[in-house]
Amino acid sequence: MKKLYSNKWVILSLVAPGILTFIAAILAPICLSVYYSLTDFSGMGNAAFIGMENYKDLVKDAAFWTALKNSILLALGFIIIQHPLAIITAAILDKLQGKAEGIFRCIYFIPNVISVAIIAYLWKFIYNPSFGLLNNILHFFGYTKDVNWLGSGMAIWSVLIVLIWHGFGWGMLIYYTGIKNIDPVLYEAAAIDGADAKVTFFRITLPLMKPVIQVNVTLAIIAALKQMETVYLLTNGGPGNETQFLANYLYKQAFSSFKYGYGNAISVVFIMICLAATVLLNKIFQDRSLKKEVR
Amino acid sequence: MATNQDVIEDVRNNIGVFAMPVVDGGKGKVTDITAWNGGGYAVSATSKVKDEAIKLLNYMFKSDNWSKLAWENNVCMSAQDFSAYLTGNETEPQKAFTDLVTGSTSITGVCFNDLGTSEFKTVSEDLSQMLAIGSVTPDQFVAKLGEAAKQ
Repeated sequence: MKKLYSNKWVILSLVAPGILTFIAAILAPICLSVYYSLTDFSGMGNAAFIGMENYKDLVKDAAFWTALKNSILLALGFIIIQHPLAIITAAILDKLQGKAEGIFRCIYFIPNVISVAIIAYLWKFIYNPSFGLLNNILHFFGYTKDVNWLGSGMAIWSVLIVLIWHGFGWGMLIYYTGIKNIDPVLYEAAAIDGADAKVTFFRITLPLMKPVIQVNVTLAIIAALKQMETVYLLTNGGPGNETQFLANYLYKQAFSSFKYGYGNAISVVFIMICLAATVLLNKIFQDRSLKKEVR
Repeated sequence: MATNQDVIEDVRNNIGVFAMPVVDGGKGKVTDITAWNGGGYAVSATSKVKDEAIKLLNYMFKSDNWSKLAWENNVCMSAQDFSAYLTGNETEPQKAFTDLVTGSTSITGVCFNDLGTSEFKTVSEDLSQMLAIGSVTPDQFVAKLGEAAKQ
């Protein structure tokens, strides 16, 4: 057996399927994307090479910068609002025990099980300015004006609330699994030493959850940059590109305007931003853990 | 919507139809309307059954067939004159709508952005939204539309 594994051809045959799949499904499309981003391809017919023109246009494109700003805003919303809430909820769920734990875990995860299309339409009805649920609640409390939740100025916040709400269950479930993996002996020891819930959370739960937080935050940021379906169905970037997000803008340029080359230029920049975000996050988390070890 | 029981009463009873007012100093009359007719049919010149296909289409779109059946079954409004096929059970919005269409002196076939490229369509739609929310001025709107049309 040992001899078999030291044979280079055997090693190659074992590694080849993975590498080939990676090349065919990820590397080749990225290379094609880079190529098309340098052309004026419309998706049909011939593609003429135009150099960096698409990238030059992209830098001057106000809608692209709005889309990038919104994607970053969403990532911040995930980190500042969604994840702290998810960790706290997961910690409380863990303490609930019994039937309630299962019931609430299910309730919080329901939005993730429902199809994005239904979620988007559900919120469209909630936000409807004439007969939506939200305005009806406001009317009940005596507010007489009709708020246009998906109108100018307000739309981006309405969309962010939906996205943060929708992703909450997923983040919470990962944190919950992380907390469940913490050795209960630690909590018992802390309780004997007289630590209250707050101290236990900050001194035991949070530090031991670091690897989970790292993975979850990275996933959240990538999800924010990739955000497409909900926005497409809720506002399609409107009104006037106010709620435009990177992935949705890419789709719109490539498949609505049929500027396939330009869409590819956006996707290349998009890949670079995603890679940079991942590297940066790994650096941030790595530095901290190293510093701790040195101490 | 005016007959749909799922729509709340307050909305259902307040649906109306009106003619787009004339712009002061504009060239158009109030009876010049824009109506987009949903598509058309074509028969391939190389079709083996070309004559039969054309005959079938002509039969389908005879006003006694298409206009009458479409109106009676609430499918859609025919692009032909359908006023002879009114059932007498029409709602107020339907009556007002029929009067507007049959009383029109001219109907433009397609909307302006349907004649442009896909890119122009996206740009013009975005610009229309931007004009509506006030993020571009009417002057900027016209200038940007002109720019998009050149491309």
